[in-house]
Amino acid sequence: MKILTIIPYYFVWHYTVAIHNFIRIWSDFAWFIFNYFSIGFFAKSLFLPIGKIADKKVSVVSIFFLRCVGFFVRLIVIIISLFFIILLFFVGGALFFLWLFLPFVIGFLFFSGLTALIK
Amino acid sequence: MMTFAELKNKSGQVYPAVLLDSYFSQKTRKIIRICLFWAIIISFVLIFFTDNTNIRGLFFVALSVWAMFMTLESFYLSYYFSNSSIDFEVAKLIYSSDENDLTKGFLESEMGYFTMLRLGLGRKEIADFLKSSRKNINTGMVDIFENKKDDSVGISEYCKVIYSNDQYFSNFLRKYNITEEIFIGAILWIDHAEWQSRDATRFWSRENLYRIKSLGRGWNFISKLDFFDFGQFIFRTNSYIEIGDRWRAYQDNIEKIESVLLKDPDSNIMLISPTHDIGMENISAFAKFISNGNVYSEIENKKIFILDNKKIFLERVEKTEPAQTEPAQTEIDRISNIFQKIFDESEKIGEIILVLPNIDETIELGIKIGINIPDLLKNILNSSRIHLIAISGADNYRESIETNISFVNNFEKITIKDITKKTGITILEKEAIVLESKYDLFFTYQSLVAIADIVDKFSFKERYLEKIVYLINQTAIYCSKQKKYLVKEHDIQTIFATKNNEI
Repeated sequence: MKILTIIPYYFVWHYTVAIHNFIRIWSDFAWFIFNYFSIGFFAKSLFLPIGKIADKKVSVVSIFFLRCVGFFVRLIVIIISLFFIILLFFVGGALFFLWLFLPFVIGFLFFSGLTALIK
Repeated sequence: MMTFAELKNKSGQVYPAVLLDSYFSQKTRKIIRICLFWAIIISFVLIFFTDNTNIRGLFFVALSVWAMFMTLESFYLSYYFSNSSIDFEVAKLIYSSDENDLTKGFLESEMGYFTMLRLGLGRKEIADFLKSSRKNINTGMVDIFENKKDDSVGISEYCKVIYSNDQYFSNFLRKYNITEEIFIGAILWIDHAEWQSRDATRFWSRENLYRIKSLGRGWNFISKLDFFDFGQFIFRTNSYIEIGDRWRAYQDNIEKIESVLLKDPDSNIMLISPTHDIGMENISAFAKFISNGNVYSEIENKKIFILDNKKIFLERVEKTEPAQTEPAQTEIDRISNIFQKIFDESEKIGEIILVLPNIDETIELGIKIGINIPDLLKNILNSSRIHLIAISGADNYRESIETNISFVNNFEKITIKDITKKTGITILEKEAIVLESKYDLFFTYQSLVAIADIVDKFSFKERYLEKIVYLINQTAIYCSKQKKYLVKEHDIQTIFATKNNEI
């Protein structure tokens, strides 16, 4: 069974390259959330009016109104994004520990399942 | 140059993944995972309705085997996407081929099968060839040349060896008018398309995450400013409105523009183009790329504003022509004020890309009335909130701009090359993949070469790209209506004969 020669390669990969990749992907996702919700961008433009490119001049009152709406909308998005970052932190941590013990967890599940199946 | 044994040794870098593939192909593994997934779902639901320990056992067995296949897939992909100096497909061929018959190994592989299909040859032709009396080439007979660029061995390097060493194989291909160039072209097309499709599925990669459109980057309100009178936003230009799906053809230049803009917040581009129209087409294609959300997040909120020479200069230049020897100070002030206004207001908005569609003409107009345009552009060029893309004709650039070294140093130069037959085929390869999924077709490589040849032969140098894209689209529509799946060389000739006038 030549395929079984893959096992040592797998274990070396599981506890070296894979861990390195896991941390990299985890940090990429953290960066992605930060970027997707434009946290830095919104923080810089928190008080700017919200809207698109106007074809004509707009009154000061309208701009003030757009500024207020912009502030609240951006603030809400920032709060939601912080929630996702915290969630990612905990989910990532849990998955990381699961990864460390995964070969044993898979073995345990398989044999306990098999025992139940043939009972 | 290396021997086959050395190449095999090099392939050891990805050996575990190749080994896994030889037992369970990627397709088989996918089917197994899907079956296991449904077994997990069904057994999980059944657990709530029955008190059967076998069901519970089935659930845990299915879950553990599924998890094992998932981790094996991660293991495989980690090798597949690793930066090794050998192409994964080559490594697969090396381990799966019979060392006494490399041609057979290639033709029986997935890569070989699809290559032959792209060349219009099916299983029957391949089987007939393999059955025919021929002299095999074995591993001891061949030396492989690395890619000169990076010393790597890709699929084209490997296949060139097979083609040039196996006379029977090359004669077989020649019987179908398939030259080495066509053979290698078809292989590279498949290889690129395969990589692109696999890369696109790798959603977790930094590259793909970078390209997901962020939320609210375009939310900033911009009230009408005075400098809007001196040009227009790209989405209002005819060039942008008319470009449609043609933007894909400019992918290479788009990537170059994108990479320069990403480098630095104050980077500027000098786009040297055969004509101004082609330069503008590239900018419109880039704008389309941004609006489709394909661009890196750093530049997805950039607004492209096209400055208009006529609005800045021309009316006044005509009026002041009689006084050219002694330019009116007011005219100089007026133009200087316009550029100052453009700078101030663009700086205020930020995230803007100003485009001067004909910098060469702008400089000349400036000289006519005694203004040094490069001086007026200094603020814009040094701003970290504004990018400037200046478009210049190639000849004018060499004659009048290149000599001003301090001005040129503010730009990164991107030269738009004339579309040759070779680049035309590369563009057609990408277009064909899109059309194939849209119309359920299959283009042979020769059909793409035929499009590039025909358009090249019947002049159209100026609008070559537009014509080849038009012809391939018309072919796709025609073949779809005729319910033809395989698009061959003669289909192109038929279409060209009927659409000759339009093209």
